[in-house]
Amino acid sequence: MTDTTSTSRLARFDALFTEHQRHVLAYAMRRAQTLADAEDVAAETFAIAWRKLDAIPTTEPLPWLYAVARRVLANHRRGTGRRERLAALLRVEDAPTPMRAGDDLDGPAFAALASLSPADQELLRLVAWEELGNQQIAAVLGITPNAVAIRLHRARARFADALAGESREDVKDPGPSRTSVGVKGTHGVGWKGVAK
Amino acid sequence: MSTPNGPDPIGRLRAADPIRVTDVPAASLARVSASIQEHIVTDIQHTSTVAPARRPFAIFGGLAAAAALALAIALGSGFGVQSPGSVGANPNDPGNPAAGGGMASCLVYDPANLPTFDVVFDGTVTAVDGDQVTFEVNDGWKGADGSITLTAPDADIALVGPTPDFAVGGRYLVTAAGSTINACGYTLDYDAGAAVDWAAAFAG
Repeated sequence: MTDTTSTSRLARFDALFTEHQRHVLAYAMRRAQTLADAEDVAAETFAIAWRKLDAIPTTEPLPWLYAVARRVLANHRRGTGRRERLAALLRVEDAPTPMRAGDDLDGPAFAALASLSPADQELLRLVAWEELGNQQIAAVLGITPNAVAIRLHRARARFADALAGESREDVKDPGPSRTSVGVKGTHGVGWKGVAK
Repeated sequence: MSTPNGPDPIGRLRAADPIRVTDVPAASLARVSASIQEHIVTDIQHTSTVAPARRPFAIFGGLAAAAALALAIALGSGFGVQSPGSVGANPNDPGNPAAGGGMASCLVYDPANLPTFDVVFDGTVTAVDGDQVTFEVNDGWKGADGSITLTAPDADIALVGPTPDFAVGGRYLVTAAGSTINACGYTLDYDAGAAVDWAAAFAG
């Protein structure tokens, strides 16, 4: 490797990191159970990006980064699951404290989301929170844009139904506990109010 | 999209985004940045160690180390916060741009690192030709003796970070990786106190 190529490699990574660090960390925060987990996922994602810099699309790297973050997150969850099972066996109770749910979260929306399959949830999150189009989502999930369109259409309908159901439940039982109920079954919600 | 039940449900989910990109905590970004820096520096050092080297400090390894140090500036200064564990590049002169003052935050500056560089010396500039800077070595601690011509890093690359504005007659404390001058506080305007620290790094 020459001086020029090594310098340009660092320059390219610097640009990539500078432009997308917030997006990747936000992606992880929306899905991880704790802030520390999210930071670990973001750091590992960029560590992989550094190693595989030449494989990253130059025109639109963010879906590639999300795809890596998604796999890192899945590995992280598997590792967390193993640790939690071990902690349960050893009766250790020092697991990371999940972030609290903010008072202004839309409980019914989260509850409706949590009622869907993990695949539907991820599709809807990528649309609503990462604001990706079908082509970009296809790159993240490793499926065709056509498949994205079909699955998204169905997921959207299922979410609308679930949301309508949640709204009806709200009318029956408008208690303040809806927010915390909405957190159940989803990851990474409740970040508002995080100290900056 | 609208549904028979009301407004677009995706819109409602969008409004419920638990963490907007602009609200990502700066402290978290700094921790991620520090982790990445550590990873890259380790990776580069490993690469330069395991790569077949023509000499103890191959050019790539040296340049990569320099660039990694510069990366510390680029990553560490991008968040508007001081990254955990960061130190000023030159505590004797925090206002010196070459020392990483101002926006820069050199995470890995430590005179103890000086022996790891290819070239370390106290020198006076005798000529500047574009990015080529020629020094008369006043005190060569490593890899420099008599006269030496080095390449100033490209200031347009954010990774490189600040270096002194080399001028003929000016005296500087210089390190270089291969033939490329390092930044991030590892090349600075001459300072007697810093020179003592640099000399001590090679004592014994």
